[in-house]
Amino acid sequence: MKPRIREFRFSLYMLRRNKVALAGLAIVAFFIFIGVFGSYIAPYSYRSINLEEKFKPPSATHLFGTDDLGRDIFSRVLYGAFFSLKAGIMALLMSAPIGCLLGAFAGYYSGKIGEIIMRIVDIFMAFPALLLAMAIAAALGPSLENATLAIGLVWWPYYVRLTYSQALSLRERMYVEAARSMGASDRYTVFRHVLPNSFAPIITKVTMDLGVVIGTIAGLSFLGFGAQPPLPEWGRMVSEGRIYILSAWWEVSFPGIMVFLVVLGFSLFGDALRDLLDPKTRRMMEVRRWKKTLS
Amino acid sequence: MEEDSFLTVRDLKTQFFTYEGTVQALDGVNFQVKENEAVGLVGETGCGKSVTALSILRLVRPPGYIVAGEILYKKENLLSKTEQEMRTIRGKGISMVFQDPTNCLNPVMKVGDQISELFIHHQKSSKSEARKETLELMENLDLPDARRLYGQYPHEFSGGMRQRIMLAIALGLRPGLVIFDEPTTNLDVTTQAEILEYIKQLEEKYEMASIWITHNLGIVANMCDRVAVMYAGSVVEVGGVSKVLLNPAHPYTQMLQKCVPRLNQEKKRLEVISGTVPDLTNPPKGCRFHPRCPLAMEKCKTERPGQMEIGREHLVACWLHGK
Amino acid sequence: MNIGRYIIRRILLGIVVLFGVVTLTFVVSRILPVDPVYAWIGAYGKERPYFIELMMAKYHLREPLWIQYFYYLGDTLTGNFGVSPISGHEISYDLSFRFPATFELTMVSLLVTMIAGILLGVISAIRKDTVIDHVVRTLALGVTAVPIFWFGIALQLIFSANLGWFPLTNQSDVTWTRITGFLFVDTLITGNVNAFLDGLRHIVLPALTVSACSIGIVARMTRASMLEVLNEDFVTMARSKGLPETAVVFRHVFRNAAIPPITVLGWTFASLLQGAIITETIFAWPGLGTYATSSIYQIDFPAVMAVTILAAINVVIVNLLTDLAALWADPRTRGT
Repeated sequence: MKPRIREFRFSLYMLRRNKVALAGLAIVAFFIFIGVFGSYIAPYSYRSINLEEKFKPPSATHLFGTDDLGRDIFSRVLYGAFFSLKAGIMALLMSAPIGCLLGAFAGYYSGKIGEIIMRIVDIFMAFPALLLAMAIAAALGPSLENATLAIGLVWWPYYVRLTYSQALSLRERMYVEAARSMGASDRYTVFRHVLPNSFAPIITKVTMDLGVVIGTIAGLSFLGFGAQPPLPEWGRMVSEGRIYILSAWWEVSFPGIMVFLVVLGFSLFGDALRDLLDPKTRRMMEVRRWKKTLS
Repeated sequence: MEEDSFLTVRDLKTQFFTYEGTVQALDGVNFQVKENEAVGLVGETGCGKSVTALSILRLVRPPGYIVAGEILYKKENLLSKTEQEMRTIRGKGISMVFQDPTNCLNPVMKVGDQISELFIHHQKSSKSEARKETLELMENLDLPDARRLYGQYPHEFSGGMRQRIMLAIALGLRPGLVIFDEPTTNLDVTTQAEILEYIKQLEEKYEMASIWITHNLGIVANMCDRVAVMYAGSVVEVGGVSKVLLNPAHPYTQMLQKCVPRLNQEKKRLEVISGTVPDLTNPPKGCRFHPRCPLAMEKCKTERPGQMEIGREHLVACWLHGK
Repeated sequence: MNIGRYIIRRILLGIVVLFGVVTLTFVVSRILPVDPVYAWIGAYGKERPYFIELMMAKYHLREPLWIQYFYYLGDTLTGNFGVSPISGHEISYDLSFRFPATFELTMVSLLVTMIAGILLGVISAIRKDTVIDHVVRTLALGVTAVPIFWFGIALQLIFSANLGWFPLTNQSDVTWTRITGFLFVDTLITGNVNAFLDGLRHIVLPALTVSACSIGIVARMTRASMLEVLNEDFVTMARSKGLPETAVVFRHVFRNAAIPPITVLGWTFASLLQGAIITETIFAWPGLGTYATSSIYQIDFPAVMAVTILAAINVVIVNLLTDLAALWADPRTRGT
């Protein structure tokens, strides 16, 4: 256990030194916090209409102002975090595991079957994800759930590719050893080794994708194929507030900023995670002193 | 003694400032090169040979900096020159042949263009003039089929051929000093011999001084007039090749000698020098060799020996030879 | 490592994928619609059995599937996508009408992305770890994260509504004669400088919006590539020749570093297309993006199919071209 603890403490050390990564982690943590507890913090319900109070600029009672129906934007933004978080996680839960399994399979049975699977993936990847998601969401009836489903259906090819290349490179390594020692339990060994060893890039990608997926769902909602009123999804809020942009800029700005922060946060954190988990960069940090010693 | 010196390196100190500490790569390097003289610079990997070469040409990049010393080239201190002035010297006054011909040529540029660059930038030649001069140079250096060679790319050649192209680049402007940084290490033995022969011919054709950086004592014996032995960032012994190799004065040189297997020996095991190269962020106090030296005295652990003369032009940095 | 064989393999691969794309869309188009009459013919046809029969014959919907497939292939190759039940036009007409606007937008955005991205990447690489480097890197990361829809709106708000530097929406406010459909071409042909300049003013904000996300990626890739090359031995060698630093950077480093980013061009293009869909909606750009959105919204089935196939084919071809370009750019793979 000792070496593992040492590794973990080294990870913390690396994280601490990278201020940008810390910022990303802070944003992500903040987002998850309001996603989970938002509904308890919010001063108003996201539905409460109060026509007396419409179009109020940001103030003490309404931190982010009110929208065209008098609803408190701050509360809506907080609730929106919950919806976005849920949608993002669901979409990735749908696409990542299936994609990874398929990729691992394709990598293991590399050769004819692997090639065929990868060609099919190529075909699916040729279609712009957004377009497909729009079509699917529209066909099923625009709603946040269907938009999430649509993204889930469209996102898996990336994971197949990732796991496939991981499996291939690992297979090269394992092949020689397996041929020498075990021979039997070949398949089981691959599954016990391929997937765990691919974890690092997969987790990195999932982290970064969470932000992107949330952004894409917001985009879908913006176009009208996702969340429908009165759901306080950030993308939806931006499109609803667009008409009043000149008179009530707050309705559009705050939800938009939130989407930006979330995507940025996951992006930064994912980047840092990648440097952390990649054995090459880790070694580089440790061996830095020797690297600079020339002959 | 220094009057006829072409290049004098005096007390050169180069350090690398990294997160984990300051690497004291060169800690007072001293040696000279006279005109038309070939001086060898030997030592283990990590002793600072390449850093010395880069320092002479002032090609050391951050986090490395030359922090002290003088490099007198034709009586002028290179360390006080501007970058602009250095650029006129590089390639023209002093040039360098690198270790790995595979990586030292630009893979996406034609080989001929890489040579003619010299003429374009130093002599302000036009493209066509430079091309002409390059073809002439290639013919003078016995590079076959010069015209065709010009338009080819580095990956189309063998290692030996690439090394010759590197030599063409280094010699193109007839510099007074050429630094050879382990130019044959990455070649197979036969090609090694060919290239060394080739260089010998060139040395007879053109008059130039040279510094031979290598860990191979055989090459030193073959190509050099004098030799400087480096250990952990400084020169521990320097003198004529025959003197130093046949009568090594410094314990380190003596051990190096023992490491070279000889055909007429009866020994079954190869000799090695015990211990490893010191950590240069925290070098040993006093003489840097003392932890590994079988003849170390108390004084060696605290005081650093300077270079002491023990014969005609034979200097040693060791307390065994002086007070 | 026979380069000729590799190229042929790659092209064949592209063709296979194209086939797969068309086949997939065919399968989807026959499976998905619950009511084929409504999907292909529209509400108009519902009450009119004669019309239904006519359209069924036109689309070969009564024939066995594999015959339909052949007709489908043929139609796709000739660009015959049928008639839109919503607009009443031949879809190929609608597409060709809308295509130039999107093409111009995408091309200008690609240019901006490449120039800005590469420039920023090179600058931050040669000034590594300085203030400039950190600023550029942060900007690149930030810009990539900005959601396109919000960025476009923000640009509109700041530069159009508040500062009035650029027009808010649309492709142009000055009339121009359509010859090829490409604004910049037609206005030059007819010598309509006014309209040309006006078109330029209109394309600025949308192009910036579309390129926003990709600039960051290109800049980061270029920076990483440059840094890798800067560590190579031949760079030290070039310096030892006494070459000025600009020559070293541009003749030696850049030429080598520029090769990996070419492969990114293909993916950049795909994401540019997606960006265009959203951007066109925001800026009311009369292109395929708005066409796609409205077709999907109105469930104009044939139109949606057509746009989807077109987009996919585009992506495959562009990827193929960039792969080949990357091979050609490096003399080591160009082969003798």
